[in-house]
Amino acid sequence: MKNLRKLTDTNLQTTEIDRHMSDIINQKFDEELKSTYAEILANKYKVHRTPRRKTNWVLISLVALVSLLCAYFAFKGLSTAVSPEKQDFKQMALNYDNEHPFTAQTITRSSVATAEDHRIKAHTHFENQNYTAVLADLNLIEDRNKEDVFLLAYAQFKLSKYSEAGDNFKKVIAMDSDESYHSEARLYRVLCLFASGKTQEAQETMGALAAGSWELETLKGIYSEAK
Amino acid sequence: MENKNFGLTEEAFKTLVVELQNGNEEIFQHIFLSHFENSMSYLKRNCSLSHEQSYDACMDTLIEFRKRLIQNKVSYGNLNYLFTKMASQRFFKNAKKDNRYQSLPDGLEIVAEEMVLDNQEIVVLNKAWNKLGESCQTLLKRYYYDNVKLIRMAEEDNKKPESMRKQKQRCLNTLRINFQSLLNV
Repeated sequence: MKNLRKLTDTNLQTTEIDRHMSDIINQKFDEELKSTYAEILANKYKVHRTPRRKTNWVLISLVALVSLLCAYFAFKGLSTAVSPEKQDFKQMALNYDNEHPFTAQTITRSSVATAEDHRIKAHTHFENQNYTAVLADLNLIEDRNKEDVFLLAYAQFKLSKYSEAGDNFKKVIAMDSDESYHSEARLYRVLCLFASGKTQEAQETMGALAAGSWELETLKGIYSEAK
Repeated sequence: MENKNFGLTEEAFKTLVVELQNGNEEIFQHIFLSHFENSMSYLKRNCSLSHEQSYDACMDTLIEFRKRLIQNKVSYGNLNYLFTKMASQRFFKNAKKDNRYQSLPDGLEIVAEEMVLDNQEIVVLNKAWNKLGESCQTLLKRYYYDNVKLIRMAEEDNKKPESMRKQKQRCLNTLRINFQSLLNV
């Protein structure tokens, strides 16, 4: 407070008082004006003495992206950072799966497989056109249903066992619980006869087919050029 | 020409000065505060000042420029150049003064001619000032801050210059007594 104490000195010359009063009153009003201007600058013109950082969305986006990438690689690193031994086990597992793809079938590893197990295996082999395996599995089923018999006959047909195939197609036709597979069985029975060289029997059998049936029309289409 | 004079025509500049001298700050504030940031940018660009340095220099210059306008010490011509030149000079003068203080050996003290109050003293000054009557506040502000001569004030108030001088003296004494009472508390 030495400045203000100086101003209260009774021995201070008038000119000194004037000079100092001018200084401090100018300082007072200058400061007040500066405050006023600063307020207007800040509120109206958004100019601040301490620079305000503008929101840099590009920078924020980049930082966010880098953070996400870091987090991703950190997570990935953690999840794969396993010992070599574990890595080997993983590769073995993948190799096995490549060699033995899962075929969505019921697997029973017990020594006594059920008819259903053989049926499912036979269907899988059938889809893979492995007809020998189809025969092997279907022959293990004692109580074969109509579908089993048809697939068995068809596999035999594919394996050129036409006589056996023809007999089994005839069995399908005889299983009259419903009409399923009957048309195909009648068609393939005729084909088996033709394939085995029994042309006359094949034509007679074909002649006995119902007029306008799918199997007759199909056979006519196949043998129309032969007439 | 206007682009060298904060967008002011010579006529507009004269109006601004008259208004400012009559106590109307509105035009001055609008013109100069709206160009404040541009002046700061100029100082940053050409004098390599920081944001705060350029802000302070422009603010000090604004106060100085206003006083010069009131005192008819500024002519129309290239106000932009004059303002930024004053601002850069102001900065380098202050920087030089600061360096001089810093380079003084210990124990030596510069006897500043200008009395500069610290923040506590300004608080006391404001309290003492507020204890003054309105007429004293107006008189002292006009005399010391607005540089209005006592003769002119006497003419405006239809008083004799001598009575105005005595009134000013009474106001000063009152202010000093106020200082004394506040400092003795």
